[in-house]
Amino acid sequence: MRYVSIKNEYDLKVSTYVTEFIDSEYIYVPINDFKTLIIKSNDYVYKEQELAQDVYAPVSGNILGVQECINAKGHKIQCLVIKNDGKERFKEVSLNKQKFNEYQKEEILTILHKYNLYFLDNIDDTLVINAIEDDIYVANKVMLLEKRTDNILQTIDLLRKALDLPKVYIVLKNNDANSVGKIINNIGRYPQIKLKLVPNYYGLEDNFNLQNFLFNGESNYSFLDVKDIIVIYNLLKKNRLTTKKYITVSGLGVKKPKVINVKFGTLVSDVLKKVELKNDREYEIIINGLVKGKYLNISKMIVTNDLESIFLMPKDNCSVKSCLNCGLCYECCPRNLNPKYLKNLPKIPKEYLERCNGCNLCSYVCPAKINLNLKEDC
Amino acid sequence: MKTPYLKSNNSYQSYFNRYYLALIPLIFYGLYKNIILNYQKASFIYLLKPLLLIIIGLGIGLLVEYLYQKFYLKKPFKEYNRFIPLYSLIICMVMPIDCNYLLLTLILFVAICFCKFFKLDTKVNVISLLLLILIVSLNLFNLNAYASNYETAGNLSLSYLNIFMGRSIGGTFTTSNFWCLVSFIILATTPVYKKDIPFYIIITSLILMVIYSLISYDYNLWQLFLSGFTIFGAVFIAPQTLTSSYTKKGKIIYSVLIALLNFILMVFLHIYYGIFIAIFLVSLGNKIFDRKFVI
Repeated sequence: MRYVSIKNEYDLKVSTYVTEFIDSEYIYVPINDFKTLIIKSNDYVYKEQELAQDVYAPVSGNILGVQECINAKGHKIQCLVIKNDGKERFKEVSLNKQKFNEYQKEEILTILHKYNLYFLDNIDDTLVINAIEDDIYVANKVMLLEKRTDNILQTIDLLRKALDLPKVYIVLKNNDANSVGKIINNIGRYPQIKLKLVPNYYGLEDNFNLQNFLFNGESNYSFLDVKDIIVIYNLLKKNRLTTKKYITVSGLGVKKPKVINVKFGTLVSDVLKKVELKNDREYEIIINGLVKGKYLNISKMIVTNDLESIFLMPKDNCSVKSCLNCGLCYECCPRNLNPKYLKNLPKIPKEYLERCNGCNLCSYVCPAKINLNLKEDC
Repeated sequence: MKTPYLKSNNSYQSYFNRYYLALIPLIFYGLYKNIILNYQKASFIYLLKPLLLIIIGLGIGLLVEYLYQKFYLKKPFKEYNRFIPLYSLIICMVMPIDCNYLLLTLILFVAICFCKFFKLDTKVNVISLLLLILIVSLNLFNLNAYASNYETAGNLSLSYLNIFMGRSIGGTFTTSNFWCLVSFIILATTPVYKKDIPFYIIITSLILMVIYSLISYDYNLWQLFLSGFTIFGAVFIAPQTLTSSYTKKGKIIYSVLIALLNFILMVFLHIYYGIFIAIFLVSLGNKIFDRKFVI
């Protein structure tokens, strides 16, 4: 496999502070199964109150009804609309009595299972914390590491002790100077946590690819994302669910690119009001990065777990040419797929579709600029 | 869905630019060999022949492309396919200095038009096909002489180093194996170029030659290998992207078959242009090799 670095074409440096946006007037909570709904219209709901099975309110306020929205993939979803009262009221304030450093494995698992989080269940050897961001213009994890370094390292150390793990690594890109510096300054207090640096190759944000790159696909390594660590920290330390997330708003159409800490369920159009936009020409909106991102209409789009970034870029006038048969897409695919061959099939077999993680590296390297992404409709 | 907003540097433009850049050392060496070394033994008109070959090569390619765009696609001649001028240039570089230029121009024009309008360039290796047509037809009319005035007048018992550097008899711009290898390094810097193919062809050919030399004690074939078109064909013609394999195993099979066939044609049948026949025949089956290893 050929590893590829993404070239830095634009000066899109994000601001060093995180903008908070937690007071959106309306919050839209996606509901998968309306049969499990346990509240009714006009009910008052508290923050983190269960609304349906495994669905919790990110804010407190009144239920207004149901509305159709779209997620970051462009799929239609049914959402419960909450009119945010901005008070962030909890039904009951119950702090964990347990000291953070004294949690045992069973206690941690019980707390996580309560919220259907099972990512710690099968960890029994080496834990690798993936803090890599593929998109060079997205700075969510950089900001997370910048602002919450100590919380992250503290939680990793707790997991190491509680789960009795012989080795724990935190993996960063070697060109991510800010995060590397921040971790190096703080890691001294946690001698059991090792820092691992990897080259600036695209695709290593994906745990499967990282495992192949670092350990040649050996199976006795477990991977967690740095965002999962924050979820665990919030639950164990504060007994709170994570109701906000970092989103990068950037692009040539934005005056000052920034990372915004925003509530789940906020309308993307409201998020865009928090940044200064340029009005000099028409810009296209690209969701989730300039390599694997999609051009979507954001009028009804809400912030969901899979939304990472919003880019405003001038219209792309690139013309597509015929395939050169160079095989670069096949050579670069981190999942050993043959996009050129699969894309020309009348129906892509399910097993290959499942293997593709939609990184879009095949389209990026293509000299004919053909869109080879197998996951474009998924 | 559109292509990603960010795009790599790999493009048609960069690929063709690199190909033309890689041909420059060979063109310079060909001009040196056929003009500077020849100037005392040839007329002024004769000295212009190498330049004429370059002009014919590029000119016919561009003319066919222009006619195709203007009269077949009915589009303005702005963005054109650079494959045909490149093919045409490479073909003229292989041609001997003393061939019949009028016949070369006519046959090349008709043959390229045929390939372009019937879209043969995506089905078979057009360069090797056209070269075979030209070599056979020029030989039929006995209008093909590889040796230049300098070469026919001079002593041709050259050392292996001299042959490797390009002093031997051969195509006007293709005799220097050294500059071919320099061109290979230039081409290998672009990821679109299939550098594994020339590498495997040259390695397989060398292995076969060593084994054969050790068994037969016949060392003359090394002269044939170095002065022939093997390395030029391996570097510039075999990896032609549209009709060569692109999977890892497919590329190995494709290259090994070319080397093997070329060896048989060169050593046992004494066909000095065996590499062109080998590339042409193997390119017909490249899709079959790839199909075996698609995923």
